[in-house]
Amino acid sequence: MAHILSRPLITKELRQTLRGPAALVLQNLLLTVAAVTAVVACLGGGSGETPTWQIGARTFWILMSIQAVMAVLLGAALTAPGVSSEHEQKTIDILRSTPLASRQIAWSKFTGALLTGCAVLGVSLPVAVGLFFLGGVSTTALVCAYILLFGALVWGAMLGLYCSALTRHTAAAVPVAIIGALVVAVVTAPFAQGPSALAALTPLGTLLRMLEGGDVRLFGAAIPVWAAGLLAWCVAAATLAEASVQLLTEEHRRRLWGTRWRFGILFLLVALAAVGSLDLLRRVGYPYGPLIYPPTPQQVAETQGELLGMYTTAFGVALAYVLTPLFCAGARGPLDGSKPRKGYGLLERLFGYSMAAGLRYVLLLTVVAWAMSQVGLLVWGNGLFDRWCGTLTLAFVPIVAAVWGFGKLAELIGLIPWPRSDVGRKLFVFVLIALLMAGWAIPAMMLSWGHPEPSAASEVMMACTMPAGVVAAFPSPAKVWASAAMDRLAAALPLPIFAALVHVAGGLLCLGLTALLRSRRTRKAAAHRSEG
Amino acid sequence: MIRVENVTITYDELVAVRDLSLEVGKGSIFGLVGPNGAGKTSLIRALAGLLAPAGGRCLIDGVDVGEDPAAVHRLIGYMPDFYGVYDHLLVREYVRFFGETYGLTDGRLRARTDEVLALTRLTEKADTAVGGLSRGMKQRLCFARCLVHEPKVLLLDEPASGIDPGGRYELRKLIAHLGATGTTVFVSSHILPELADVCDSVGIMERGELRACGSVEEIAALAGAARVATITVLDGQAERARELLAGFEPVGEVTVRDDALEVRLTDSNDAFADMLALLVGQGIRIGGVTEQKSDLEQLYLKLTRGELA
Repeated sequence: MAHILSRPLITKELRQTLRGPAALVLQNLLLTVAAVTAVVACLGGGSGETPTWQIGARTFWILMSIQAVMAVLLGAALTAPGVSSEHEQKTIDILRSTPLASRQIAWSKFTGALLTGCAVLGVSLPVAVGLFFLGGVSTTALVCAYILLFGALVWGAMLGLYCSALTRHTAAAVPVAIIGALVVAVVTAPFAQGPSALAALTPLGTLLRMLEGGDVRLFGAAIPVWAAGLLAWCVAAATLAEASVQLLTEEHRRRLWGTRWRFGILFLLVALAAVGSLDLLRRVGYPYGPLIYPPTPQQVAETQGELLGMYTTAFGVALAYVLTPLFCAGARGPLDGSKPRKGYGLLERLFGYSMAAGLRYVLLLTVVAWAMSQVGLLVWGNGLFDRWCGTLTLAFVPIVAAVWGFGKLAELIGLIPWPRSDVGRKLFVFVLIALLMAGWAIPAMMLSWGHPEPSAASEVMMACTMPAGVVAAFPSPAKVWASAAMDRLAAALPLPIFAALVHVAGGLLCLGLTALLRSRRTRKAAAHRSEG
Repeated sequence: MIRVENVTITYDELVAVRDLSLEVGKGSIFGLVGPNGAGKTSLIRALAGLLAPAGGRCLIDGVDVGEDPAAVHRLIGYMPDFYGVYDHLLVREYVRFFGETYGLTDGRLRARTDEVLALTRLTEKADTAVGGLSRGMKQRLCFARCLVHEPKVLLLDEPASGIDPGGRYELRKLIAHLGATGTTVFVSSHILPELADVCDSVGIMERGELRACGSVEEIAALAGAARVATITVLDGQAERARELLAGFEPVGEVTVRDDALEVRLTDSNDAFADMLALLVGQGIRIGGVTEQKSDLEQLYLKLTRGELA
């Protein structure tokens, strides 16, 4: 891989893209869209009789559709300045006078953009994981959907890189790549079904095929339509990649024919390997059918766990409040004018301080959410999961969004005046937290207001899906206890006031921890200076 | 170390460099001078393997640039005339990035990064974002970047353009230092004085052709009337002295300014002595003589005007 990819160049690309304000805008945009989509889709979930798995399935479909379109556009927008900016900044000659080959430059730029795109798309993972609590979404569907998003990102990124190498002007490359991606998606949409699915470069159509099921035959092997689409994207992307490499190469060294036959052999091998592996999967019983389906009784049992959402929410909130000052409030990097710490870690070196903190935070939160859901399934697997629980879980999503947004705002601190005094800084952090928490808590409160307790009918419906012979306490003792506790709390305090108090308390806790940490750091620095 | 053999570079109909040949020895500092559009940048880009000549070939340390550009890239450090930097990187990261592309490993990379930052006086700014540097600092950073992999040959295209006199002085010192350490430096400029002090050989280019090439002294000799003397004449006899010198063959142009004559004559001590003897012999009293060698700027102007071609 060393002659295709250059690690230093990939690192440089990541530093350039993720340290700029563009990363903030993209991530927050995607997160906002994902969170708002999830909340709106759940709010419009039909009557109280609608099973939660249907709400979950529909929300998942809407969320992934929006992300699929965004993945293509994001990929195109991320790579479109790749080569053209080097021309515009007059750095291309410097780069080409190094031992880096044109192929390394093109593929490394592509990989850097792809990693950025993955980091941006990864922001929506907590939202998607949250949908598990509603049911109707299988792990397979989630994994396939993200593979598909990755494919769409690859295709968009290669189109952007090609436009960049072709036009050499960012102002031209970005719109051409985005419009080009949209036009190709629309033109190839009719091919998304049936045996011609291999020609489809439309993320929406392919996503729909993925969820509804269906396959195409290729060399006697059955291939799921979504995988065929993915293959088509990768082939188109590889073609564009080779064209971009040639455009980057000096005119007299371009080897079009040589490249074509080598590329043809490579494509054939990749296609055969892909088809072969897919056929192998079919033989070992990998399901090709639709990935969104009514849950089986066993799955219903597995996805039940009425306290799961509540516990995850509580844990997530606590985690958010504790980790925010650790990762965000103290995060200042060299780009905002301060001196870097000694011996900073790999991620910090790669992304800059607060970006690394943000990534760590999202990864940690996702893992914790997943781990908690597994524990919950084990402990409360025979309970009842309903919309009441789901809405509380969804409150978790805006809080994740708030914390992420705050982390990114901390990154922006270099762009806005940072108060000089200690008190000013603390006040600034507190105001930011309070504003963000208040802003993001509103949808959570709306959710809590908008959804009454589920009707007995839906509980009966869910209970009827339990496998024969399984005796479930109905309602479970845990729910009885939790409901009673919540009733007592609700009687004592109206929910909005309770939520506001929680957030204010959290904000104060956050402020205290921030002050403590900063004061410790200041003391350490003072001690270090005095030793020096 | 650098050999250019009958190189012709064309852009469609335009011939930028025409059948040019030159050779630069190991450890030399070669200055390529010429007006804008003379073909200097095209030649340097061809040497850096960024441009394919329509004819002829370039060799760096015996390696044909056209045949093995990757090998040549490892030998050279190239600084283009217009260059950009990556604003979002820190100064140290910027230098390390280029060091890594040349395959420097961690320990060596760290050492070289520190060395070149110290050499270019950027150590204090090592942890600052590149975007926050002044233009002169960026110039030095770009220079540091060229040096990080210890190239055998440095190709510098107009390295001093756009920087202040202090920056130019520092740059000249750096180039001289590199020359002293055995690095071959090929530097172009359209401002001749900035090269005169540091280069041990100079080529003067115009319209794609090399008008003159050699050491500064050789070019001065080639140019001929390269010696300028200012003679202060007493008793108001400046005009008479001018008339006397007008018939004296080694003397070229004579200008009278008040009581002084500015005389251009062949760069020869005999001619100089004969001129003074002539004046004294004719009863001209001389109050003083100051002499200055004609600088490269004068030669450059003459050569590029085609006066000495």
